[in-house]
Amino acid sequence: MALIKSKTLRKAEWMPFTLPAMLFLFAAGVLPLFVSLKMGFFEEMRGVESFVGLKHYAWALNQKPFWSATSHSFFFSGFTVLGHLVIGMGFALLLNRGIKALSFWRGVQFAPWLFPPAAVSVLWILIYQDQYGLLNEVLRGVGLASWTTNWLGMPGTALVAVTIMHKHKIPISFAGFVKIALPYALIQIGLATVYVVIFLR
Amino acid sequence: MAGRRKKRREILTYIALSIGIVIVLAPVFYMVMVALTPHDLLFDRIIPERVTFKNLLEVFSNDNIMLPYRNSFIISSLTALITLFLASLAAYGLSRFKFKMSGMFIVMILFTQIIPMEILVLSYFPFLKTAGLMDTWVALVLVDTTLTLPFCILILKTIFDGIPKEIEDAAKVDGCSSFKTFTRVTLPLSWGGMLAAGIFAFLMAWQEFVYGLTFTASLEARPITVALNLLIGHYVVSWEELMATSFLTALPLLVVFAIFQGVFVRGMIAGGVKG
Repeated sequence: MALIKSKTLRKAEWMPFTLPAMLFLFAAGVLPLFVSLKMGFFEEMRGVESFVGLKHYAWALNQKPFWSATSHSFFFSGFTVLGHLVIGMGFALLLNRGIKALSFWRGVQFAPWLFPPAAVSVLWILIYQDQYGLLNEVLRGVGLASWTTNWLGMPGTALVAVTIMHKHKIPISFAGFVKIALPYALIQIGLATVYVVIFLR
Repeated sequence: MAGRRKKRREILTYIALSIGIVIVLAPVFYMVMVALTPHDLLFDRIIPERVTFKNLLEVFSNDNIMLPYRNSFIISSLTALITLFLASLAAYGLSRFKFKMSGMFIVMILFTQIIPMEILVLSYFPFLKTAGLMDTWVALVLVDTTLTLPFCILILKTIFDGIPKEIEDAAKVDGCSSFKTFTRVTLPLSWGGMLAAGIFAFLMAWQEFVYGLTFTASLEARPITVALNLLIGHYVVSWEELMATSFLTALPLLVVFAIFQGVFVRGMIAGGVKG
């Protein structure tokens, strides 16, 4: 009887299915991480590897770029998550109201996600461009010419939000991050609430 | 009275949706408009007075773009196929059998999804160099599969969980082995999920940039996302051609999505989208 297999055989039945992917992920996803981790604790001098403990970590923590980059990451991640939540939730609630032609609206709303970030970044380089970028053109068009700037050329900035802050001379430090980010977050949450109250009652 | 209020509410919903979509699509619209503008009218106004397809057609005769375009197609298709093969097997194993290591495996899947890929670049580099895989499609297919595999396993597991076990039991009573049951019964029933996972893997591999930038050096292996961004530094910037290239980079994904939207969205909802 094919149905009645020995217990050990049935126990191993998952292996031919799951094992290949498991080994692949282990070899290509988990192992390299530990290799990286190990590299951090060792140093190679004339082909000889020696254990140096936390020396490299101490070095990294003493680097200014490390801290500024980390705070940029926090800043960027915080706002991205907020944006995702606010805009995404807004769209989700609107799409969930039993509208007609749902798949059309859903499809159109989803389309920007399909653009590779590499392509979108080229587009935004153009939009932020100093002399003929769309953003500055629009600002000039609505009479806010004094707001125009070389958006990507400010020292230490690639994030628009950060750029705006630099323009208004608000210094960003890692410690001051929460203090500065909080009002912005509150404004965004406020706007979102107004949006929800007005449009989504 | 109540009917009128409902009507007003409905109209407000459509207005809000339209505003949202206009905002979301505005940058992309601008991209297409610049791509269609003849050079002498550039940045004159957003919607050009004359429209030209010269920019788009010129891209097709540019080897600096067309070779990477071909590379991206090959890399993404191979990644999708390998991902589907490994992920469907793994997901079936997770969905149908109870074993001690399944919990550990799921943690491993989530773990590989969480860690930023940039960390892995450093440890892939010496490996790919020793293996002689630098600057090849194979290298990119391997590393891209690491990106796509975890999520595809999770989607497919959900899909397989939804297929009643009774159907498979019927096949087993008729004498099918586990593997045969999988290929003859489960796979044909879950083609929608397979398609969604395949499209997702293709999308991820097509959009990938960091690995492509690090592990390729020549036009023979470079993916389109990298080639596009290298255009900025290496040649005189002509924005209309850059925008045309950007749009063409996204075009295959738009076409695939337009065709398979229904299946894809259902599959994504089943798995819970990330990214």
